[in-house]
Amino acid sequence: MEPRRRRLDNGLTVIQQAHRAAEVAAVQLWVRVGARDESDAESGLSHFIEHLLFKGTPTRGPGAIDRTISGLGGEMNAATSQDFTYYHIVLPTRHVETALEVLADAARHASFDPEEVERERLVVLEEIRRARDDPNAYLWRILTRHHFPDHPYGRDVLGTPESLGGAPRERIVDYYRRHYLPNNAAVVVVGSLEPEAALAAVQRAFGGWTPGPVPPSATPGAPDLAAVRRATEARPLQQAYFGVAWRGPLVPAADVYAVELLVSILGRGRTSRLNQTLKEEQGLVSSIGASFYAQQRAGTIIVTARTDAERQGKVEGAVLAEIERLRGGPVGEAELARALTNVEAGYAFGHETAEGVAYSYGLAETVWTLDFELTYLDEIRKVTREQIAAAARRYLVPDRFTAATLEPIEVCS
Amino acid sequence: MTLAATGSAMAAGPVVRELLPNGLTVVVRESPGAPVVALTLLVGVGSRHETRETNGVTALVGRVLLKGTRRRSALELAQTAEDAGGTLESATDQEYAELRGRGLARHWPTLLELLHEVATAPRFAPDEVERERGLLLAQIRGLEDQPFQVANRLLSRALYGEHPFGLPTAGTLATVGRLDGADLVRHFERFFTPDRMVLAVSGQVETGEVLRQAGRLFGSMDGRATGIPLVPPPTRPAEARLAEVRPTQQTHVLVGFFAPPIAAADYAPLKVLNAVLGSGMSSRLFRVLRDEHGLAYAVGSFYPTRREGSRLVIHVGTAPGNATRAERGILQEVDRLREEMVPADELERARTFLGGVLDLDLRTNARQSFYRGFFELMGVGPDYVERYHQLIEAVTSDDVRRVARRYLSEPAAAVVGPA
Repeated sequence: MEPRRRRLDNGLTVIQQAHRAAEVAAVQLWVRVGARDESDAESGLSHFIEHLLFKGTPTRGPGAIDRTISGLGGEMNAATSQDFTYYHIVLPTRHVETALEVLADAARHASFDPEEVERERLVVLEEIRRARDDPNAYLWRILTRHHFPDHPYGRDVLGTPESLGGAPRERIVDYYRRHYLPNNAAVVVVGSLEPEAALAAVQRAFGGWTPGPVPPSATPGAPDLAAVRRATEARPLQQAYFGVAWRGPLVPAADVYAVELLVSILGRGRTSRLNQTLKEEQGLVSSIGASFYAQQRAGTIIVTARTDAERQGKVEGAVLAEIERLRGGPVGEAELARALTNVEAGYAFGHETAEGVAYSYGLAETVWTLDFELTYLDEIRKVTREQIAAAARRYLVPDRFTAATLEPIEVCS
Repeated sequence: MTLAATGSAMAAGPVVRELLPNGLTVVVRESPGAPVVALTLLVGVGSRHETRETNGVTALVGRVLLKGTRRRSALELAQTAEDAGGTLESATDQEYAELRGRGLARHWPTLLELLHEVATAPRFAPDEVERERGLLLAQIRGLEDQPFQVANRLLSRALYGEHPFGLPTAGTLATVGRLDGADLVRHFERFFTPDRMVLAVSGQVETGEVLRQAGRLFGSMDGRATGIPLVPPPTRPAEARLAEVRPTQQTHVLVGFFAPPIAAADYAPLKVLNAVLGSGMSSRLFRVLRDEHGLAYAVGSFYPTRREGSRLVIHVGTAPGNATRAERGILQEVDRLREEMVPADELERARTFLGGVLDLDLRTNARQSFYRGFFELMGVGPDYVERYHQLIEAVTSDDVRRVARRYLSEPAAAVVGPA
C-alpha cells in the first residue's frame, strides 16, 4: 500500500494512507524545527515550545486540549529532536476531525500566556534535573557533546537551566512565529479513512494557515573526526556506562543500507557479535548494543554498554577488537540473512499500528525524503557481504572515534 | 460530510480458549492485519512465591531457561528465533513468569516449538547459571542507579515489610549471590507445571492449526503444583515512612496504599479513581502538581492488576527543596477524593480514557497475546478485555468516593533524594 502525498496551496505537505487494523486514526504534525536551529541564547526553545503549544489558544483554555483528547479515548504525545518537532494524536477514527482541529489550532494560534510560560518553565527545569539523574540519558549527553564539538548537534535538546531560565516570552514567541509555518511542516494521517475524505479534512483544518518565509537551515554537515576523543566523568553510580561513536554515512547515500546491516550484525539481538563475544564469551559487559542514528546532517554509528567498575577498562579494547574483525573480511552468509530477516520483521512490527506507519512517513518526509522510506526494504535487500565489510573499513576507523564513560564512585548514604 | 470509517477495519477472529486435560489453557486469536505473530507462555509463579532466602530465584530461572535446552544451546535458541524474524525473551513479575516469542507469522510453528522447549526441557548448565547470576546481579545494581526504582523498592518494604509482596522481583545482591543450581531446578520443577500455565497466541495464524500443534506439544506435559502455602498480605503498612539518602538532582516521593485484586468488586471503581487521580495528562495530579504549580515533569499514580492483592502508588520527582510541598499536594488530592464527589463530566472523561487506553494498547499482536493470557492467568478469563469496558462504564461517582474512603486511608511513604 502506497501513501498519497500532496501539497496544499499554503505549502503544507499532507501524507495520507489507509490502515485498517483497527477503527483508529493517527494524526501527526511534523515541523522542520529542532535544537539545531537554535542560537546559543535560544538553546532549548524548540523543546520548550513543544511543551507550550498545548497550553492554550484563544478558543481553548489551558488543559482543554488534553481533556478533549483523553475524553475521546485518545492519546496525545510530542517529541523534539535536533531536526524536528512532532505532535501526535491517536484516537477512534470517528473523532479524527477533532484531532486535526486541535493540532491546527495549537500550531497556528498558541497563546503563550505569560503565566503558563512561567509555570511550564519550572516543569522543563525538572525535566533537565531528571535527565541528569538518568545514567543512560546522561551518557548520551556526554557522548554527543564530545562527538559534535562546535556543532549544533552537540547541544542538548533540553537546553540548559541558564538558557531556559533566561529566555523572555518575546524570544519564545518570535522563535515560534519564524518556524511554525505551513510551508515548514507536514501533516500525516493514517487510519481507517477514505483518502479523499482525510485530505479534505486536513484542508479544512489547515488550509487557512498563512505561509511565510522559512529561515534557511544553517546547520552545516558535521566535520570528520580528526582523532580519538575520550571523555570520562565520575558519577555516584553502581555500574559503569560506556559509549563509543563514529561518523557514519548521510542519508540517502548508498552506504546507509550496508551500515544498517553492519550495525545489526555487530550489536542488535542476542546472536550479534558484540553480545556473543563481550557478553556471553568474555563476560565483560552486562548489556551491549549497536545502533545507527541517521540525522539530517550527520550519520552516527554508536555502541553502548553497561559494565562494572572492575571491568570497565577492558570494554573499549574488546569493542575495537570486534570492529577490527568486521573490517577484516566479509560477514557470514547466515549473519547477513539473519540481519535482513531482522530488518524485515522490524518493518512488519513497525507497521502494525497506524501511528507506527505515520511516524515512519513523517520522519522520512521531515528529515530525508518520503521516497527513501518507501524504497528502503528493496534497497537493503541488494546489499552484499563485501559491501558491509567495505562500509566497516570506511566508517569504523580505529583512530577516529569518540568514547565516553560514566565511572562509578562510592555512593555515600 | 462525514468521516465515517471506510467499511470497517480488518476484523480479528474470535478469541478461542481451550483447556487441555493436563490443566494448561491455550488461547488463540486470529488477526489478519499484519504478517506477524506473538506468543506468550505465562506461568503462575513470581517473587510472591519466594521467601527472603530464595528471593530472585524466579528471575534467575527465567533467565537460565533461555540459555540452553536438552536439544539446543543458548546460541542455537537465539539463532532459531532470529531466523524466524523474531526474538525469544523472558520476564518475571510478582505473580507470574513470562516466556514470549514473536516473529514473522509464517514461522509460528518454530516459535511455538521454541517456547515449548525452553519451558519443558531446560538444561540448567552450571556455567550458564553462573553467567546469568552475574548478569542478574548487574541488573540489580543497574536498578540502584535509577532513583525511581530505589524509591519503589523502599515503598514495597514500607507497605509489606517481610511479606513476599514486598520482595523485589529481581532479588537482592545477597540472595541472588547465594542461590545454586539445585535451588533453580527445585523451583522450576515445583512451579513450572501445566496447571499453572497459559499459552496465548495472536497473529496471522489459523486457529485450528495452532490448537492442534499446541495440544500436541504441551498436552504431554504432566505434574501439578501442590502444597503451596500462600500467606495473605498484611492489612496495615509495616512502616509509615522510609527514606534513603542519594546525591541526586531530584527527590522522589512515593505514597502507597493497599488496593484490591482484579476479581474484587472494587477493582473497576479503583481503576476509575486512579485515572481521575493520576493517569494521563488531564488527571488531577498532573494538572495541579505539574500544570498549576510546576513542581514536576513526571507525576502520576498507578494501580497494577494483581490476582491476590495490589497497591495504588502515587509518585513525583521534584527539586529537593520542593519535596515537602509536593507530598502535601499529593495528600490534599487524596483527601479531596475521600471528601468530594467527582463531577459527572470528569468521571465520564476518566471512564472513556480508561477504555481508550486499553483499546489502543490492544492493537498489536504482542499486547493481545499478553493481555489474553494474563487475564486468563488472573482467573478472570481472556474475554475480560470486553467485560472490562462494561465494568468501567458502570462505575459511579458514589463508587469512587466509597473506594477512596475504604482504601486511601493509611498511606506508606518512601523518599529518596539528597539529605
